[in-house]
Amino acid sequence: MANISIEAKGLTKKFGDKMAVNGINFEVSRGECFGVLGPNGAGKSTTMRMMYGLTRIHHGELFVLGLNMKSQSREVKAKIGVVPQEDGLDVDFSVLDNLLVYSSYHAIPPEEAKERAQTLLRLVKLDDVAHSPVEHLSGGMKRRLTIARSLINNPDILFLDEPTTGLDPQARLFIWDILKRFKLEGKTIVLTTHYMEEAEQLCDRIAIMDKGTILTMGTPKALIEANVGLQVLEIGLKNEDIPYFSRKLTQENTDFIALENKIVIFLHEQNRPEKLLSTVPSQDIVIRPASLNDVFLRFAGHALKD
Amino acid sequence: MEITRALHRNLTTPLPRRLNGVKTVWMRNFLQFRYTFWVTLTWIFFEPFLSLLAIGYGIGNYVSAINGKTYLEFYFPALLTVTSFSVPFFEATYNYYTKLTHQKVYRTILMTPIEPVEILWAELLWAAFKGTISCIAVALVGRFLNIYETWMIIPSIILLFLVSFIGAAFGLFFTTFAKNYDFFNYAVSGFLLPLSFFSDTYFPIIQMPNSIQIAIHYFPLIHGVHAVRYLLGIDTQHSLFISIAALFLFAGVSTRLAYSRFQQLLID
Repeated sequence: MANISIEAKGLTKKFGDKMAVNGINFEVSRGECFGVLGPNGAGKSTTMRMMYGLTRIHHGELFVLGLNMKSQSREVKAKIGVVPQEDGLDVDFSVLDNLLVYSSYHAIPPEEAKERAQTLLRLVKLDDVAHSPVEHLSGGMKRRLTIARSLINNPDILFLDEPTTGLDPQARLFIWDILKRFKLEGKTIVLTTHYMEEAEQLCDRIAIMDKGTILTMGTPKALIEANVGLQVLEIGLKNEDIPYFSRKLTQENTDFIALENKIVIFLHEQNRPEKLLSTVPSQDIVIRPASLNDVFLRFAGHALKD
Repeated sequence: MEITRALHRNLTTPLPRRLNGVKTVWMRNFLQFRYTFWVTLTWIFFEPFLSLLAIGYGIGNYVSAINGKTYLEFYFPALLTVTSFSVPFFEATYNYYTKLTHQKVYRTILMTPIEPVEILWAELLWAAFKGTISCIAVALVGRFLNIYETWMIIPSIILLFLVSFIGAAFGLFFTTFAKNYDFFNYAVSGFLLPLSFFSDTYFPIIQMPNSIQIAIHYFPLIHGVHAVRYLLGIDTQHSLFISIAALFLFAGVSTRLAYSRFQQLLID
């Protein structure tokens, strides 16, 4: 148990007839940053909600910090922090009151809560606006407050559901910095995102989800190397030309995926760009390093961001 | 700054006692109430004053005595009871729906060790508390207008807390079916309004067809009206014991129904 933070076996969730999460298995080690990547509707958020106890588990097992989520979710919730997709801040309250009220839910004694709140507001650089109403804050500031709120009980695991969606680059960097510091202290982080860059920056290991299942799992580097190689050639084409060139590439045993308006070719040693371009002539070509998005393309057959 | 070290001396937060959440969630509402306190205070006195003036004195002037009591005396316990029921009903519909959907207040609370049952009790007790405050305001206005002179108003207010609690539970039950705010038009026009008209409130129910007389007893409000009329010595023909027993029964059943729906909504 000591080195495993989260253990899921055959985790399943149905909403009515719709299978949201279909028997997934994974483990998250202590101190690890584990990312769940996938398009909207992939089952990321449902998986998260099962882990922090807001959705009932249909089948399978889920142990968090050695505790069974089905019977000991109360105990688990005392030891985790959650940053949900929508902040859920108390809009009528001041910034400080938001933290104090939330501490009261955790039964943190008032004096202690005040101290912690002030410390955390300094950490997320909101100490200047401690007494302002939350509705006056910008989106980025609200997010920072939500992160401060999630840390108030000094959690062992932090769950973040799309923590930087809709934020400007600067706000995003600031949040990444806080998360990196949290990780440096040996704490576990689980986050969902559809930003490739975020996953590559923060995560030690990634699970790629689509349609309720985990397509593949591993370190970002290993996932890219094993599945798509180091470089990718993108060739822009007219939609109506794509079937023709697809057939030609298939005949030559080329590793590629056809998308709308382009063909994405995974470059290995045997297929050099010059040769490929003689097969598929186009002015619109890009060679770039392979990314997690390509891994996703390979497994899901469609782009990560629809 | 190291987050962990900065945060605490004792490394782990102990698990809160069970039901501790009822108090903390109630206190959250109280904190929010403080922001709107003065506005609320004004209208909870103003409204009963208007009702008593318009209906009690205005219409009452054209009504002959009912069972030897003036119309104002007949109507006043009904106003107390309807207020006690409808204020928490509105709180538990419009306001709790907002907290459930737009503000995500409950979801935020559930990220902590607090459980749905604690939220339920906190919310019902909170709405009932607001109902009781309004009820006390009506009682004070009634005293000011010299409608009653008995100390039996105090046990009446205590009993009306139960009526407020039932109003909250009914409201919350409706809320669990709501898909949008328009739904509450049905709850108010289709349930609350007819109930407040036909529960022996504005006129003796005896004038109505038998079927309506029987049907209305399957709803809570009339039992509250009868109990308060009994306590204030205005009409003692209905057994106080039966009225109170009925109210407890309604409280139990409505809380149970509200809970079974509410907790499914909170943790899906």
